[in-house]
Parts: sequence; C-alpha cells; structure tokens
Amino acid sequence: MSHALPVIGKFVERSFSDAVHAEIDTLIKRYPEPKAALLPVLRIAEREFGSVDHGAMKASAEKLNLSPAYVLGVVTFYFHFRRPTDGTFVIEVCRTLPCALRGADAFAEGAAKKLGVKFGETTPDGLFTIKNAECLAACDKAPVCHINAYSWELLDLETFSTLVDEIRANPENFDLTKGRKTPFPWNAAADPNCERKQPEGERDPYYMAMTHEPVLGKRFFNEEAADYDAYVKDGGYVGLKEALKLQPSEVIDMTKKSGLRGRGGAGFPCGMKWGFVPSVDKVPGPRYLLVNADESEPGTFKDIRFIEDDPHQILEGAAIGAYAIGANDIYIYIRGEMRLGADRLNVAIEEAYKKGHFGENALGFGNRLDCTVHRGAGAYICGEETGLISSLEGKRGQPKLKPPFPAVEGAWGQPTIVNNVETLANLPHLFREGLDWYTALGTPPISKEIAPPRGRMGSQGPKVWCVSGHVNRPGVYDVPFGVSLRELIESDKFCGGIWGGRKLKAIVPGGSSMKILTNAEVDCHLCYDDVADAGSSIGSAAIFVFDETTCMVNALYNVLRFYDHESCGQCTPCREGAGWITKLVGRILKGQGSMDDLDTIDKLSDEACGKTICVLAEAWSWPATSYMHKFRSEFETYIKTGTSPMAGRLYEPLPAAKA
Amino acid sequence: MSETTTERQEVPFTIDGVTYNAYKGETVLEAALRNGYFIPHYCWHPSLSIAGNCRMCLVHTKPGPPKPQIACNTVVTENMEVDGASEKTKTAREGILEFLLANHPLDCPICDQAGECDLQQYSFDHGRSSSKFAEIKTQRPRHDLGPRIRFNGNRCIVCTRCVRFCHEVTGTGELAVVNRSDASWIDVFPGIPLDNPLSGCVADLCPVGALLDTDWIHTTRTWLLRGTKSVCAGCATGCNVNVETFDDSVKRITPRENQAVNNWWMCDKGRDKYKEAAVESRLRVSRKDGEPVTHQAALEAALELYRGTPLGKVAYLTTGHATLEELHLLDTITGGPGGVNYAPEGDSFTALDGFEVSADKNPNRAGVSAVLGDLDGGEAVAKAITSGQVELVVVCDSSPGGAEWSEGLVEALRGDVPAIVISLEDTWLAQSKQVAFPALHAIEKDGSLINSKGRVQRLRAAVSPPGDARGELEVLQELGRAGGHFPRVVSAGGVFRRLAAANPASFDGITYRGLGLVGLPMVGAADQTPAEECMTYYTAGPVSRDPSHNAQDEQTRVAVHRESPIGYGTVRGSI
Repeated sequence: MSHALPVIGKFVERSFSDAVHAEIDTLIKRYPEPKAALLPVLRIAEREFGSVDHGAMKASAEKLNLSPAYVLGVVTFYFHFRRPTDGTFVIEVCRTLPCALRGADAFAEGAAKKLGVKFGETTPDGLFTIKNAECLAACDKAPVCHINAYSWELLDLETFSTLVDEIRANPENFDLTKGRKTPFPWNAAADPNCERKQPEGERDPYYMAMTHEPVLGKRFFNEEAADYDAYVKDGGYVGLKEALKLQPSEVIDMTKKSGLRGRGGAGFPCGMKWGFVPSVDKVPGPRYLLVNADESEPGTFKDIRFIEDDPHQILEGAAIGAYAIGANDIYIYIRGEMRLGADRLNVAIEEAYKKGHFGENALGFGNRLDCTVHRGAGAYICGEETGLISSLEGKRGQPKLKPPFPAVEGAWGQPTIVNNVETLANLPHLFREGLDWYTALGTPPISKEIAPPRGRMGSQGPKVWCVSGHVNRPGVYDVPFGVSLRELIESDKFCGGIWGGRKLKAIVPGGSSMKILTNAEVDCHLCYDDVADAGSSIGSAAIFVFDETTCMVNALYNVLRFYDHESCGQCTPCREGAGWITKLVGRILKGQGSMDDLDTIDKLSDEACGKTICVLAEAWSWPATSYMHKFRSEFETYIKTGTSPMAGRLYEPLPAAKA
Repeated sequence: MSETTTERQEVPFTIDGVTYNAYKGETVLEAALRNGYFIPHYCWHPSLSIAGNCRMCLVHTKPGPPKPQIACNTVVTENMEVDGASEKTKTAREGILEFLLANHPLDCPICDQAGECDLQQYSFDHGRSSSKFAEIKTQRPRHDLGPRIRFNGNRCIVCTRCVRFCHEVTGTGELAVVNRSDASWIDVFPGIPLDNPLSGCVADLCPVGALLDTDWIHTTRTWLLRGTKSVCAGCATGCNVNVETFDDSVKRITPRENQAVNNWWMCDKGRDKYKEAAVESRLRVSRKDGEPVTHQAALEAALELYRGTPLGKVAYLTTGHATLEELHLLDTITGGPGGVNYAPEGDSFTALDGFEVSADKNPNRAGVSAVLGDLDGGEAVAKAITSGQVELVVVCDSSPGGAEWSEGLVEALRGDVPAIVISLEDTWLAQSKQVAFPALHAIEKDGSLINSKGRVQRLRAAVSPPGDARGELEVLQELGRAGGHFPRVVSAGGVFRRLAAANPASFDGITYRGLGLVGLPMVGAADQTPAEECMTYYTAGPVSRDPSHNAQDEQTRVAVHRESPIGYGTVRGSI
C-alpha cells in the first residue's frame, strides 16, 4: 500500500505575518515547551497558507526551533492536514466496517462518480477533493461524509448530489455546519408500564434498563442544553462542588470504591490509575490530566455526543480529575476530524473560564487550572494513551515504551493521567448523587469465594452504548450495565431487532478490535465480566451487528485494512504483520487463498501478540483469529471456490429501498 | 561513553541459569553484552536513546509478565532470572526475524551490506529457514539522502538509528521517518540533504544495507576486505580507523571505537583521505637533479651529499604531518636549525556527545612540540641559509598538497643551497633540488602521532608505497647510519624505543607495542584515560562487524577466511 507524500510541485517559501507570530506566541504559552505547539501551529499554517506544503512546514519549523525534516516526519504521520493538491472542499467518505454495513461502499463509488474523479483526486475546477476516511464516529448515521471536517450524515446518492450542486452554486457562503442529523426518536423516557417488577433485593438488569432515566445522555442531541446556564439548571457543577469538599485523596478513594472503569476500551479501574500518581515529594513538578477525545475505534460514536452536545459534563469531570491528581493543566486531545466538537468545546471552556472554573484562581482554591483543546490530525493510534501523549508533545503520535507508565512518567516526563471522555463524564454524577446511587447501577463486584476462581469485578455506574450495523434503530443508548446484549438489539425499546426482518449472524460487542460473537453467543449480559466470559470484551461499547447476508471474509478485510492504515509503523511485528495479514485476507477474497493461509493467520497472531509496544497488534489479530475460527466455513469456501454465498457483501439493501 | 573507575553498585542476576553482575541501573541488554552474553538487537546503540522498536532483543524475565520483554528497556533487578535461550524466547526471535524478512527484498547477492549485515547474521543464528509470506512485498523508494549516503527503502527496517544519530549526536536533525505503517521510510526535507560532517556514520550504524556510503558501494565484497587498524591523519583528533583494503588498494575507511578519542565516529573528510595517496601530483619516483631515477641511485647521491656536510651545517624542515619517529630521526641526524610548517586551520565540528573534528588539520602538532620543542616556520633556517651557516637542508614534507613555506624561506631555498627532499607532493623543491624521495602517505606507513588530547597513537601501513619508494623512515635512517648515529636501520618500533628513551618527560612508560589499538596518553597529558577504558563491550557499528561475533559456525567462517597469500581475510593485524 502506498501513501503519497505531500506533492511538492514548486517549493514556495512561506512566512508568518506579524499578527500570526503573535497568535503563535500566545499559543506556545499554553504548553510547557514550544515543540508541543507543533500541531496547532501546523493548523494555523494550514489556515494561513491554504495547505501544509513544504513551505508551511519550513516556516513552522523555524518558528518552533525544530529541524524541517522533523516537521516533515510529523506532518506525514498524520492524514488530516490539507495537501497542496486539495480542492476548496475536501470530502472524506467513511468506508470502515460499520459504515460499510450500511452501504457506504456503494455510496462512496457513486459520490466519486458524481464528482467525476477517482478517490484522492481533485475535480478540474479545484472545488472538490474526494478521499476515503477512516471511522468518523457517526456510524449510526451512515452513509456519512465530512466536508472540510464538518459532518454530513444520513446521506444517499440523491441527497449527496443535491448537496454538491448547492455547494457549487454558492461556494463562498455555504454553511457546512448544517449536516448533522438525529437519526431516530432517541432514548425515549422510561417506560412506567414495564411488565417485569424489580424483585426484592435482587437486581434485574432488564428492569433497570427499561426504567432507567438517561443519566449521561440526558442532553444528547439537545443543542440548547450545552449552554452553561442550562447545564447548571440541570444539576451541573454540583458534583464538582461536592468533590471539592473532600481531600484529593478522598476523591481518589471514592472513585476507587465506585468501581468506575475506563470507558475508552481498556476498562482499567479509574481510581486505581489515579492512585498510581506519586506524591509530590517523590516526583516533584507538574501533573497533567489529559482528556482522550480521540474517539476513533470503528463503531464508537458516544464521546462525540458528549463533546458536541454536552461539553460541560466533560469539563466538570476533568476538573474533578485534575483536582484529584493535583494537575494544573488539562489538555483535551480531540481528533482532528471533530472540528465542530473542537469549536463547541472551546466555547464551553471560555464559559467555564468566565465562571471561574478555570484560570489563575480556579474554583476558588488559589491554584491555577488551565484547560486547552489540542486538535489531532488524523491518526487512530493517538487514541492510545502514550500515542496521545507523544502527539501532544509535538512528536509523531507513536506509543511509548511502558514501563515507565504515564502515571509516573508521562507527558514531558511528568506524572500524567489520560482519561476517556465518558469516564470523566461519570464523575459529576458520582459526586453529586453519591456512592450508593452509583454502585446501585449496573452489576456488583463479587468476591472470589462466591464466584471462583477470580470473582467478578463488577460493572458499575451509568453507561452509554453505541449500536450500529444491520439493526432497525442504530444509535446511542443510555442504559446501565447488565442489560442482555440480545435484548438491546432485539427489544422494541432499543434497537428494534435486525432490519428487514433478517436473522442475526454476528455481533462485535466492543469496537472492531474485539473478538466477534456469533448468534449463539449473544445471550450474555452487557457487563465486563459476562462479555469476557463469552470470549470477547466490552471495549469501547461499540456494538455492531451483522445480518445473515454479510460476508465475514470481506468484513474482516475491511477491519484489517483499517489497522494496516492506522499502524504507526514503529515496531516490527505490527508494522509488517498488519500489512501482511491484510494482504493475505485480500488474497483470499480474490480467490487466490490456500488452506495454509488460515494457519498463517493463527501463527501471525501468536508471533505478534505480546511482542509489541502497544496493543494494536492484538487489535488486528483478535478480529482475524475470531472471524476466521468462528466463520471458518466461509473462509474455506472462498479458498476452494474463489467466492462464497455472501460474495463479499457487507450491505444488502432492504426490499423497500430497492423498490 | 567510558566510565571512570568509580565504584558502581553491582546487582547479581542470571541469564540461562548463569550468574552475572550488572551495574545498578543497567538494562538487561547492557549487562548481558558487557558480560559477553550476546542478545541480538538492531535499534539499540550505546550512544543513542532507547527506541525499543525492533523487538529483536525480546527475552523472558522472572519476575516479569508472561509475555516477553525487550532487554534494552528492562532494568536489571536483583536476582532477576533472564531466559535468553528457551524455546519460547527462540520462537519469539524467529517470529521477529520472519516479520523483518517479510517485505525485505532478496537483495543479498547485490547488496553491499552482505557479510556485515545484522539481518543476515541473525537469520543465520536465530531465524527459520523458511517463511510463510506469500504476498507481494511493499515497495519503498531508493534515493540519495545526501552527497554521501544512498538510501534503499526496501531494505530499511525502520530501526531509526540514523534518525536518532542525526538528532542526538550531530544535532543536525536532517533525517526523519516519513509516513506510517509499512509505508514508513527515511527521508530528508527537500533542499536540506544529509550533509553534516559525520554523515558517513549513519551508514556504519545502519544494521542492514539500507544506508550505504556512495563512495564505497559496488566496489568490493566485505569478506574480501582486509582491515588494518590505524588512525586517521586528517586532523588533530586522530580518529581510530579501520583501513580496509583489497588487492593492495584501499576500498574504504571506517571508524573504530575509542572512547578517549572519537567514540564510534569519524568525519566524512577522513573517509576520503586515502584518495590523497592517488592524486596525479604526487611524487612517485625518486629524483636526482630533477630526473627520475631508482631509489638506489637517489640514495647514493643523498648519502654523498650528507657525508660531505658537517653535522652542524645540516638544517631541517618538516611539517605537522610527520610522525614522531620521523621527527626524532630528523632531530638526531641534523645539527643545524629546524623549522616546521603547519597546515592552515580548517573547518571544525563538535558533536553533542563531545566528538570533535578539530580545526587543527595537523595530526601531529603535539608531537612536534614534544619531540622538537618550539620551532618557528622556517625563519631561523632561512636566516641560516642566507648567512651561509647551512650547507644542506633535509626537507621532510608529507603534507598532502605540499607545505606552503614562508616567502623568505622560499627565496632562501631557491638559491643554490643543496637539499635532500622527501616529499609527498611533487613540489618545486622535489623537482629542482639535488635529491628527492617520495614520502609515504599515512595509509602507507608505520609510525606514531600525538593527537590534540596528548594521546600517542599508532599508524599502521595498509597498502604498499608507490614504485620502489622506501619512505622517510628508511631514508632518514640510512642517512643517520652513514653519519654514524646508529648502527642499523630498524622498524618504526625500534626508532620509537630510542625516542622514548631520549624523551622520558613525555614518553616514560610508553612502548610501541603498548600503543596497541587505542594508544596511550603522554606523560602529563590532561586526558589520562587508560587503554582498558577506550573500548567498551560495543566495539562495532552494526554488531556483525565485530569479528568475535561472526558466524557461530567456526567451519563456515574459517573456510572463507583462511589465510591466503594475497591477503584475503577479515580484520587482521594484531601488533
């Protein structure tokens, strides 16, 4: 696979104006060292010069006292900077698996045809460039595309055509922010007529799911609710006040007791992670709280709801986290594609500064607390905590060696905690409502005496789930842990079952990195322990559903292409292995496979897992081995006959659509 | 870098059941290598930061997680048990090698790194003999990164040694990894090529054939090269080098480790120095009254001149390029005044780790002071010539390009004062005076030099001199023997013995043999680093260049490298 470097054409010397120099100087002050401002400076260069060409790179390098080759290395690592050959409007169409399941492939081909160019090319009038993009965190509203990083959702070829014509008619003034959609009547209020009654003393997850009022998702899709005053009216910033009444160590303790686990994908206990931050006498110097808003796991679109619709929930949670670990700086690392999200966050942060939550004497405590949004530039691996730290430091977003762990030695060598957006969003509720309320939600921990051999860690607290793929109502669902996966998919209250009346074939329960579950395995409850027992993992709570028409071989190929594209390339097994396994499955799909290839998939997985710097190797080998083992007959059919009954299909249009 | 001999706390640990001692804070890889237990690796180098990306040094440790750890980033803890040879560790290594070879081209037959390639070496030692890779290999570009370095993207294993070298050692930052995933390759910024004074060192560091010195590629196979361990005579730093020859001609010069002089590096100009021995304008035959003659005929003429002049009326002129032995001989066989010409200052460069390309382009200025004391640039000799006190001048000028004597001296020399000229360059002196002998280039002679830090180091002859030339050492000794100063012509070592005895203030305790591979500090030099501390356990760039690490199979190695009359073989030349 080749990835082109920015096309030079002619080298144009570029320099920043005085006003821009001043802007950059102010920006640099928000970071401990100038190098960290590299990504924001490149965005400024992109704005000033129209693209990040070699002149822009050189100007940025000079401003920050870096070598131009270093900046070249950083720029080419990321895929979201404008190239000199890009048109005025860059259209990025997501074709990752959840979108592909809802027709993104045919849509993308049609879109390119409408524009009259191939993927990666610009129209002759210089107006449009169409590109493939990786998961844009809008899988429930597929097919989706970004136009200059603003989201345009629930498209089909007709609406896309109209859109392109409208832009062409009015390129100067077209409002790109109007493309977001709310897919279905979302998360209706609790059903008072729910049939099942809560048995005394027991916890019935079905009852809880049916009667649960949205907690985290209360303000999703409600644009007015993001405003500060509306947030406060809804009970906002009360949790923060309560947390501030405690000592930081008590805040950490309470978080430990709550059982809150990281919601980004790893599920590591949040309080325990905070507890790893050493005391100031052991390790002096600043601490950093980094908010991981780099939601890129295919199938995940929950963090974007917090970011765009309810940013104050994140800010309140981050403030509590910063208080707990003694941080004076919060950096919100948001993926480059979420342009609207970054804008909304900046507005909310400004409001928070005005109200004294951030600033020199933040929260009335005499300590400084600053919050900065740091935009990424198109790299899934920057969602890995040390990859995020590297990217924040102004380097290529490559994960770091662990040990040392970030809590001890992270960003700029200082103790750093990286928390996911949803994890932090839990904190205001925890501290406002208290431990009893919090731990009553979800499934409780059980000791190893009662549930040998390891006991159960439990899955407590509120949760939002993302469901996409072949269901009637994909979307974000605010339901506590414990609901059965099958209920979530098939109940009319939630996803309403497989579309078109078809049969369920398989579900990926936690994002494309996780192992797949067949129809027979889908009766587990959605909690960390049960899904792990079923052979997969909750991951980032990104559930996508395959119906009986789906070709698993092509689904696997789609997933592997994603990881091949997103591997940072640092360490040998993942760099070579991701490309290798993708080519292998591609070859099977073309009908050139052999039975040995299936053994090779297992062997590659063994040789790469556990041998790498981060777990991206597991992220491609888990799907590869689980799809291959659980749907072996499909793979064998491809190998023996060169095709399969599903013949590479990921999306089979519903009968109504065909008519 | 070398450690001074302060006590470091020792931490016992075992590898494969054998107990070793690590220093506190050392990683498993460092401790293992230092104790002679070899763990294969690519991206780690003692001069660079830990990258941990090649994953070749995976070992299992107890205490440790069930998955293997990279030895280069795991600090040794007390009584740690390292497993470097069990089945699971071996399988892990085999896997890594298979990944590395997956997209690697089958270039060995045409790749210049063959024979000193870590990928070849570890494949042989630790790899599987077959691969299950059945895909089309990813292609990456091949381009020149700078005037001296060619990059072959398909062979690159993205260990980033070269990138880190340019950032952490030279501080020039010309290289970067571009793109990501298996489309990563090494590149420069357009318009800013890899052009720092140490650019050749990235080719030494590169464990595979991705970065190659354009001056050397496609000339010889590495196993045909015969290495002579000498020092560079390009500047006062005196980098320790390996002059690699085949068929009596130099094919390339690479650096050797000496932590007291040049760490692991040398500059690009030093790599090209052997070309000076082949320039057109070099004096290749002896001359008598300007006419080419045999050495014997010229020697007879020189002896006649010398015998017929009283000692006190013999003056000498030399340069900052003369070896200590030559200087001592000049001093012994002459009684009149002397003068020395120093090459003018040139470019200098200081790397971030202290390595220095000296501005002083005289390799033996310190030697001239030590042996001859304070000499002027020839004014005393000029005066003595014009006042008739000098009847013979012995000129010993082995500086490349010829010394630029001062005007007054040149005028005096243009007169009819007789001169015996030993010269590298075929200068006007060599052509106009009574006798001229070709001087030897630094790659052709034995002798010793003192560098800017006061370290006495040895030159070793790597190639034969031109024609029937015998060189300064022999010619000066013939003159001296004729003058009765000593009974026989001896080797450079013999002359050094006399020199040391005559100058105990500088050379007490230093023997020619003792100079060995890394030299010895002069008496009174500020840097007294002893020989044992000059070479660490990491004497080579790519590990496979260290001959002690070559193929474990003695049969294979010896079969190729058997002694041969023409001198085929790998590094040879002990004292």
